[in-house]
Amino acid sequence: MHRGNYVLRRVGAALLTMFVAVSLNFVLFRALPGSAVTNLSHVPNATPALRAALTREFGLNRSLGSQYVLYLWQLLHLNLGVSYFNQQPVFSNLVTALGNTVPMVLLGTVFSIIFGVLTGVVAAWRRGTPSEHVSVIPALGFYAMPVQWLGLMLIIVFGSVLPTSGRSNPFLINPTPIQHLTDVLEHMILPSLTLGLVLYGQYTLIVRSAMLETLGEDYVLTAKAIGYSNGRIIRRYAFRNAMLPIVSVIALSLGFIVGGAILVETVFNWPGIGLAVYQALLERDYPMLQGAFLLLSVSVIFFNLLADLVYFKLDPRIG
Amino acid sequence: MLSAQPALPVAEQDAAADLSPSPLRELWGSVRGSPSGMTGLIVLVILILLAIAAPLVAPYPPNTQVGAPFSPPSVHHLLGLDDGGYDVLSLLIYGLRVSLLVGFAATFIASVVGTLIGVVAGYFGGLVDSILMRITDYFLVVPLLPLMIVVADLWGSSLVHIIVVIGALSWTMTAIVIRAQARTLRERVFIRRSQALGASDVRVITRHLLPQVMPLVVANTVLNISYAIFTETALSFLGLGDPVQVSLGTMIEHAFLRAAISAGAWWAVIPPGALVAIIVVACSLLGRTIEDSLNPRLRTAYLSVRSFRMRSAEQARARARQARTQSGGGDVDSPS
Amino acid sequence: MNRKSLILAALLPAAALLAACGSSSAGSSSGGTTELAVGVMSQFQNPNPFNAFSIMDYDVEDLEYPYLVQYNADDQIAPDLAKSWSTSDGGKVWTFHLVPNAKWSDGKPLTSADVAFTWDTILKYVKGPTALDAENVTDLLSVKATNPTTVVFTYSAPLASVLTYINNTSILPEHIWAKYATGNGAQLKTFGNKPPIVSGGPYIPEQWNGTTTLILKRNPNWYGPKPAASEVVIEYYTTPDGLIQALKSGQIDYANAIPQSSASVVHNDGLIVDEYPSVQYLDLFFNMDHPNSSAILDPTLRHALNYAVDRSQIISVAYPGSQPGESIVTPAAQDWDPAVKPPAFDLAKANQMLNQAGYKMGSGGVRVAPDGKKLAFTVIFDNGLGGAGQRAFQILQSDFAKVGVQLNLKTLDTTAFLAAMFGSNNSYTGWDMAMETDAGLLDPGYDLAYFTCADFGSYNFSGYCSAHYDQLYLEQAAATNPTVRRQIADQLQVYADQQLPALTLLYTSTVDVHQHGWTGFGGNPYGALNPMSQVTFETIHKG
Repeated sequence: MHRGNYVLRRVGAALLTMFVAVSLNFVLFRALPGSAVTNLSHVPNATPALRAALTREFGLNRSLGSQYVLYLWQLLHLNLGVSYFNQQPVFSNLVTALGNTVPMVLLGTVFSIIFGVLTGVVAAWRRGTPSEHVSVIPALGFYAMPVQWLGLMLIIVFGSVLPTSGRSNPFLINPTPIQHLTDVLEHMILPSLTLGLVLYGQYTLIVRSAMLETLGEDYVLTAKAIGYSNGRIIRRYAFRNAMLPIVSVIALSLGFIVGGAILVETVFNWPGIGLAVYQALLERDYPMLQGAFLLLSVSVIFFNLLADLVYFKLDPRIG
Repeated sequence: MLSAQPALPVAEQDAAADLSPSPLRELWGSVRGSPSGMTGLIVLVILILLAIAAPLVAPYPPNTQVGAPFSPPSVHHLLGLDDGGYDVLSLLIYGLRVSLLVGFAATFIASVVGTLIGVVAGYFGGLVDSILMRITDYFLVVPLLPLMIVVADLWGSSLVHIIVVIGALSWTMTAIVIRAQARTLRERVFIRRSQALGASDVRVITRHLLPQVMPLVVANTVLNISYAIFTETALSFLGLGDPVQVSLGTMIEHAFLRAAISAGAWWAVIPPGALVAIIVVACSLLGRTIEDSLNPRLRTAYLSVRSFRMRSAEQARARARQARTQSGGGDVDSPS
Repeated sequence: MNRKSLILAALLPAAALLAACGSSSAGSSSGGTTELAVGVMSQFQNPNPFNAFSIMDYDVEDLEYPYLVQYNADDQIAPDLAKSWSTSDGGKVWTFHLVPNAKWSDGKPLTSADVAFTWDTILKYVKGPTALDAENVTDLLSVKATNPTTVVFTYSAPLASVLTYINNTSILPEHIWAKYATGNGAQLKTFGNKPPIVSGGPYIPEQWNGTTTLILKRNPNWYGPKPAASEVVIEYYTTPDGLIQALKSGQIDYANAIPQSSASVVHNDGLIVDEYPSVQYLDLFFNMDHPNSSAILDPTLRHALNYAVDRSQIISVAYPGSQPGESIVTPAAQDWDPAVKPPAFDLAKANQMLNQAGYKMGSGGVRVAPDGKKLAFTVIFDNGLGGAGQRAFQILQSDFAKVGVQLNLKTLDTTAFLAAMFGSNNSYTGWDMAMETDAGLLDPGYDLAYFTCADFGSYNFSGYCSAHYDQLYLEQAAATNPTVRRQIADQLQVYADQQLPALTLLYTSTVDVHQHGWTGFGGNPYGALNPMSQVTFETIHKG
């Protein structure tokens, strides 16, 4: 069947791309000069014995081919290796970090969608009036700011009233669940707000474009002639048309949630996957970097596939 | 992500998207007529002139200590001094130069490569198209950060390397968008006619297809410039920038690493990011004006009496992807 | 280094009596607990001492496990678990007498059996899992527990640094670790040792969130004087801003080793800033093995360049609070020779020396050597030096240009930098100069070792190899008499200064900050919280 065919083709293509991404990951990180040994053996009391021991421990004395096979085999078992610096499995490090990133990013994304859609609708409906400019210009402005810089701005402005570092107050000893939750939410406000502000602009512009297209259609003119209220027109016709690109953008964006907004987490010291990547980057903790980027690539591919399939479901003309 | 799609019948093409004899001149006309487009263009031109004239305009040389670190703004130093005692205003102007250089150079690479691939894929279709799109897909999934780390580790992180890496990864978006346009235009009657008269493929592409695609290339290029500048600031912030050069990105990084906020030195933090935002807004205004001019439906929102089909799924997804990547780009500034 | 020593020495016995004196500060004092909140910028990552890497790993190890000896407030070796010791057989045999009736935090006895177990394990697996401690068992033949409070170390040769090696090694509880010291010993490294653990030092790591926060409680069974802080919370901050905000808002009581450039930021806020000379230095290393340009091997050129280094400007712009450097041994380390002084910044003299040596000024303002090659040198630079290092390099580059020497920069991140510096098979090719920080320990043996032939591919950043230097070094390493050792160390420093394999630019400082509510802080080159002694925790108290 035509439909099934399309789905199968897309899934197959996605799997192939994933395999390429996985192998690329391996090649990229093996291409790097130096290794765990160079870095880890650089302690004040290092000896050649230490270097030899580390080389054996990390399997760096095996051939590249056998390292690759080992890498693929371990991947199938969800074994992403062991972090050079805290000797813990990369997979569990990443899962913990992810657990911290998701709520913060979700909050920011939800804010951006809601606020973006509202401003986009206003901009389209009130086209040509000052309301449009009031909606579009800040959207464009925030969208244009480097996110790490906006984070620093928010720290300057709100630094004295809201927490600007970490996920919770480390000196709050034995809090009740409610206290802990409030504490975490307080810490989540600024990072989520930063994310939300830089993201909402894209929804504003997409909703505005899509609605403007629809508002130019015949049937809208007809609906107005018939006497339907503006609200009804917006909801039933104009907005529906915007759904498709919005859904598409959301699905594509989800692929990057895993990336954890590296810049936001770095600025606000939020212990999520983004900060883990930043620290692994500083320390050149290759297994952590490799694992994190693998996770990122795979989720991008996965959510792109999801976006394609959702789009296909909503608009079968594609297949 | 994209597979080869069957071409849509000619009859269903936009009646309004007629081929014009001089698309670039028309483009200029519509930009001139749009206040937001002109604003964007003028701002960009001013910034470019400022960057070119940096040695003449900047009050102090950029790498000389002229006072105590983090001195506040004064009559001699309008934007104060940074963590090394260097004049922030001068750094800003030289940094603008470097950031614009990266933006333009990387985008140039991306546009040339992307347009070439998009046009070839869109024009020839079939197997060529499939192969090129498959390659595009694979480039799409190369994560920016690891690639930049590898390049930085192997060859050092100089401006040239940053430009090449950004260019090498951003051509994909241009290719996808141009390809969609090329496919649509391929079906144009007069191209067919030209082929019937025996013109070679190369001739058809260069003399007929390319000029029609140009406005979209221009729009895409302008929008890519802001992506490239964003990416440079992000890479610099993460320590992968060129340590010898001053760019707007490294200015933000220095302020962050040297606790400018705790020192109360807002003048070291605010100007570089604000300037980046200005550049990006200007590019966006200009780019969107050009894009809008290519899409006449938007101009006639309430007055339309013609019927238009929904734009093809590919174009919609390409636009969505473009919009997503502009909000900070790929996996560096995610999620977006 | 010895500033607070007199005051501290006087306070030492009194400290234990002075518990909570005075008004409240950030740390809570509710219900009988006195909490010290500490902010750090090094992350505690490895609770298992065999995997220790970051400085915080070592600092926490110092608080949780006993050591036979430690450094006191004067940076001299002092008793810890071993209350006295003696040597015999020409310095080859060391006998340590332990504090009697010592206990681990779980009540089990802490005896010489634990000491012997720890050292035997290290010796047994030194080629594998315990390789990190390989240096500490240099020339060690055996460790025997002759009775519950006596341990005998037997070496194959007399060594000057025995006590340093002893100070580097924590004692582990045999009853916890014995089961991992079996087979090939791989389990020694895979054992997590996550808090809460059985501790033998002043504090017990109780809770750890895996990334940023470690909570330690006072060990009631500790053999030493009772510390005033009943609870210590160590919080890791990734950015200086975060740390400074926490200090200013009173969230933390004490910040360890904040960046030097931030010291001025906290001065005006009623916080107390302590600066200690650190054991870290910033050098411009010359490639003394196979540089691209043979001009580097000319000692006159190297000495001339030394006059073209504006140390005071580099310090004021990039590393405020540092000390100008010259000797390869840092002032914070023992046996530093203050007679080895940096030359004055004199571009005219540099130009004169280069002219006389036959380097004529060529086109483009770059000198040309007699063999026709330009004085254009490749400098590899460690990115990890950050903005401060970059600024330092820029100053060097512009000053060297004024004497006709061109520097071409190649920046690499730390791992790539090391790989490029050593070259394949330690051939030291492809570069002329390298800019990097380095650090030793308090024992000067480390700083001095960095220029021996044996340190190729490890800490010898210059590729410098001299038979004379090596011979002097070996004499120093075997000199158990401190006066003799000092003399040889001085000779080594003077010789190195004549040979000039590297230009020592500056010695950095360690900056500690604490709130007014706490006093009694002392420190060493790593600050009050450091890997070689827990003396600070015995002396600090509120008030």
